[in-house]
Amino acid sequence: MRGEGRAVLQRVGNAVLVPVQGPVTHDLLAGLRRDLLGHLAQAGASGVVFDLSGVEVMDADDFAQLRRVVDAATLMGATVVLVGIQPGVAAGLVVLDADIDWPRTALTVDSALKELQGP
Amino acid sequence: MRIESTANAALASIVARDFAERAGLAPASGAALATATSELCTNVLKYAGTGWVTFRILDSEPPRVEVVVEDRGPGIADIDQAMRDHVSTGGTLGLGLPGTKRLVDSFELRSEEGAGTWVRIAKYR
Repeated sequence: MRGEGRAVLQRVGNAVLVPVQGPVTHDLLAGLRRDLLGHLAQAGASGVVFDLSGVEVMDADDFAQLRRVVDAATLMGATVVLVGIQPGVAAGLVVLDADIDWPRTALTVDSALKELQGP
Repeated sequence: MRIESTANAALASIVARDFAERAGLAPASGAALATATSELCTNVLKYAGTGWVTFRILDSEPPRVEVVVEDRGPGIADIDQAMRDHVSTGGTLGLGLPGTKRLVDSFELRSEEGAGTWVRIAKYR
C-alpha cells in the first residue's frame, strides 16, 4: 500500500544503519524498535545511524515517538545519530516548537559513520 | 477520507502535499501543509479516535489549497487556552495548535464540548 513505511537494518562495520522510508507510523516504529533492539541484544553495535532522508513528513508526535526508539537503543549502549532530515521536516519541527534538543545529527550517512568510528 | 490509524493519517499528509504540488505551491509550502495536516490528524486519533479529512484546491489567484479535519470527539473545552503556546496536559505535547497555525496561511477552528472539532487550514503562499 502506498504510504506504508518500512525499515531494514544494514550492518556497516560496528554500526547499524537504519534506512527509514515513508511515513513514520506506529507500526513502522513498533517494528523498528523490535528489530533494532533485537539486533543490538544479539550482535551488539557501538553506533546506530537512522537515515531519515526517505521521510518527507514528520509531525511533532512522530518525532517524539521516534525519540522513544532512540532512547531505548541508547540505553542498550549504542550511540545514535539521525541523518538526512529533509528541509521541510526540519523547518516544520522548528515551527511546531517540537523538542529538538535531544538527537545527535549529521548531514550524511558517511559523516555519521565516520563520527561514530572516532578519530 | 476517514482517519482511523496513523497509517491513513500519514496518507492524508501525503495527499495534502500532492494537492499543494498540483496547485503549483512551492515545495516548502507543500511540506508545511503536509506537516500541519499530520498534526491535526494526530490530534483526531489521540482525542477523538476517528475523524474525516477532506482536501480541495480553490481556483483562485493565487491558487489556494484547503484541508478540513473534523471529528465528533470530546471537543475543546477552552479554545483560547488550546491556542496558547506551551499548553500541555499531563506531560504530553498538547494539541500543537499554535504551531499548526504558524505552519499555514489560514487557520479556522470550531469546536463544541461534547460535539466535536472542525479545523480548516489553507496554504496559498
